[in-house]
Amino acid sequence: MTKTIRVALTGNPNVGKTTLFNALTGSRQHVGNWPGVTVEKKTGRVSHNGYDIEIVDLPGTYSLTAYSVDEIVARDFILKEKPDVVVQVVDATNLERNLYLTTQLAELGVPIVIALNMADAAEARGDTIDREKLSALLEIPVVRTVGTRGDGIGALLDAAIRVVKSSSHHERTVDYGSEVEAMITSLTDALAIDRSLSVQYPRRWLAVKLLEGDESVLTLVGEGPASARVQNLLSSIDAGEYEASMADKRYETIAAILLQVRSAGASEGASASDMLDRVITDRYLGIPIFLALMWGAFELTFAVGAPFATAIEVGTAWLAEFATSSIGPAWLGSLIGDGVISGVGAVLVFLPNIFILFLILALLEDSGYLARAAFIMDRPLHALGLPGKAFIPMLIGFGCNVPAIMASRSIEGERDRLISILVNPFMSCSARLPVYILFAGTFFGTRAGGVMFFLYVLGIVVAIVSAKLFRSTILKGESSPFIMEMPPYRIPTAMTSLLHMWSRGSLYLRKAGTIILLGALLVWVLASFPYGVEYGSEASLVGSIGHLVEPLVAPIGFDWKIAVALIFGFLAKEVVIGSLGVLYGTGEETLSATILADPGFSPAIALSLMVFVLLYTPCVAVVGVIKKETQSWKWTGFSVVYGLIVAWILAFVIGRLAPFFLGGA
Amino acid sequence: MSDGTKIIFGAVLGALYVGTAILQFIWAIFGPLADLEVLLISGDVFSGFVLLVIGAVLLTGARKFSTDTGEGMSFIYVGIFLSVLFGLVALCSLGAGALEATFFAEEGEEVWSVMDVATPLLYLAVIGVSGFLAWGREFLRRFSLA
Amino acid sequence: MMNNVCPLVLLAAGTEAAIAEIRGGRGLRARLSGMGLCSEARVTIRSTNCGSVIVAVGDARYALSRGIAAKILVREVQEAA
Repeated sequence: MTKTIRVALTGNPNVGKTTLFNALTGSRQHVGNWPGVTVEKKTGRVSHNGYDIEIVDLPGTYSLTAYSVDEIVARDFILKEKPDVVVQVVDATNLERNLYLTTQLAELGVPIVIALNMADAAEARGDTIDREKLSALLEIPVVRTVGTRGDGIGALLDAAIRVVKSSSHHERTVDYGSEVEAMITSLTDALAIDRSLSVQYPRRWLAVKLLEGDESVLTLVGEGPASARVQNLLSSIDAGEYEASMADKRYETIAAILLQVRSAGASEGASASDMLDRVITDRYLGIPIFLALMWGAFELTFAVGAPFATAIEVGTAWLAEFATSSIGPAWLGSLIGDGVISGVGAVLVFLPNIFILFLILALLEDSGYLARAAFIMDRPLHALGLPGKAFIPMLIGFGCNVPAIMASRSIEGERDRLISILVNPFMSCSARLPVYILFAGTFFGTRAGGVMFFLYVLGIVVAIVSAKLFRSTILKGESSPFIMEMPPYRIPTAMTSLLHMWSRGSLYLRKAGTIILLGALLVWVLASFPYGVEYGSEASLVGSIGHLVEPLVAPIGFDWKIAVALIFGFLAKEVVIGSLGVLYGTGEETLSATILADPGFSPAIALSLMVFVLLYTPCVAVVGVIKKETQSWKWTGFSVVYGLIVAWILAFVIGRLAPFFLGGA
Repeated sequence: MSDGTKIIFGAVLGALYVGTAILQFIWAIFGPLADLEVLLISGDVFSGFVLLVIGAVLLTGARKFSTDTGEGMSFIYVGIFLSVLFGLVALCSLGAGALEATFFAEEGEEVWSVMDVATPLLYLAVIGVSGFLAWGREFLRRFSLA
Repeated sequence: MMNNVCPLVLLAAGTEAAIAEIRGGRGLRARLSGMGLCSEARVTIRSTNCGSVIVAVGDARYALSRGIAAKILVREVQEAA
């Protein structure tokens, strides 16, 4: 009979925990959310030696205080769900800091196994670590692993199973010195009165946390019978001093252990990473280097993506043709050909671009450069009112806003995170491109490139101004401090980066597969009914809807066809073009000519339309993500309305001003 | 390979990059100047900017050599790396363009030629590559890789 | 040994220092502790950029914005030759 074991995977950020998790669980993973918070929860399974092992990936944390959601989630899981064993992934090249978490884990009273990861980097550096000695001193098994190569996975699982089976584990925890230890004893005695608490949590851990001023433990104790005595004891000491001395003692213990266990090979001086940083974060060249790399990224995205995009375009056009002409009943042929294939095809065309962009971002992130870029851009962004860490989500937003807003999770302050989420839709995603390409190309000829550049910049400017606006009105407050670890530069492994690219790109694919498919079908349905009506004409349902909404956008100069296209654009901005095609009764190639001929259109109106599409309400998928990340209908509704208002005003203003700037064009 | 070689290499390559960058800007502002086409200048301000950045990094490296060898070296290495990197970007661009032209060129469209997309980023990178091959390993050996 | 205590934000690249005090709330101190930045910890400043700094603590490197660097008070340390 197979037995089941539950393993909790923890560790500092940047230790290769994700890679190790992937190596352990392969494709048997499931990603979800911890209930009530926007922290990602990953679980996976693996079978080993007759055991069915469930692995829960806890958020990466430096310690287990109660000050951040990540830490609370991690420690609550260990304390309340009581996994059979906790595996801590430790970075062998950064032992001092990593073992700090170990000291905290040890006090939780659960069996622990240490995965000494990145052992290859430590060895390359010339470090020798006596694993057995370390294991003996900590009373915790230590297994050598190299996540990127899959080394040590079997041994790690063996150790975990062994620890669970033996049901005895480390006893040792940090000795805080006689004075503090005496206080701990007094506290544990006092806590004995609170029966229910003593059963749920290790008393020593509770005592240590009380002395550190842990808010949630204080609350827990405060609600119970031990409260008075504990308060008494705590008021007799200087909290700040105790806290500092305890942290010191932890590091002292760690240092003493490392002295016996490790001989460092690296020289004390600057490493290659440090020297590279001198250049990369140079006060004059840092930003230019970054801008140059961004140019390179976008150049690659568009240039290299082009042949593939064209291939897909040609392919789907042919397929749509084939479907319409060869499938039996005309309406079915039209549904599949004009509706489904063309609609989804419009989205798939961008797949190469998006995946290339995400791959480049993954490479930049995995090599360690992106952390430096965030550091360099922190001050300029801060000066503009944006949180420094919003920088990566903003970059991703140029590809697709859905993964971009999800990436905002890494921003700590609630206010900053909210601002980042609210302004992200103004980063012009790739879905809006077909609109720009069509209208800029049709109405502005050689100046099309310049117009598109203007639109992108406009989006950024609106984001900045909005952020400043939010900051001074509805989201007042201090911005969070910027602290970011700079991992050493590494050469990214192909596998890791590809997986990274996939996790973001697949979100876009899913959007295409579901929402846009539905959108395309919806457009088709509304354009084909009432039955017998000419496809997409004024008499059809779309026409009726269009005329209904027309008065609202008439001041800008939009007619009912544009109104309809914009409404469908809410589903997915790519659908704007598709619906225009339906409404004008043409395919995409001739759409350009048809629109040019339409007297209702002019360069000014085209410009207004592009501005409107740039700025108005984010598409359904994005709205859905905003709701999920903010967990509030208020902010979701706000972003919908705000976008609409900003779009309307700017489209109106630019539409009026445009003739003066465009001259005779 | 002495330090002196590196300084000269960095300075010369840096000057070349800055030079082509300036030519790009001149073209962009004043319009095409016949002779410059040979150098594949095209008036693209963005690639001009990138050329300028690479040149600046290399020249800064050469300059810093007099005060702090280590730092000067780092700048030159990063400069060489950027040179190679953007050379690859230009190469990919080229390749993709060629791909598209071969398979998807419409009837009657102009025949695409390599000249359309080749840029100084490409040929200057060739020089950069030589520096990379010569000194890449040394950089990593000199500072521990961490 | 120097006794001058000054904020991290004022020091130049290459300086070595020991942390004397962290002026901030408990949350900040706990967080910095977990990263290795607690009192008496040895840090080296690797890079500065208009007030923001990158410091080395042991084997780790952290980027700190100007605001935080201003709250960390350190004592410069001269290494024995």
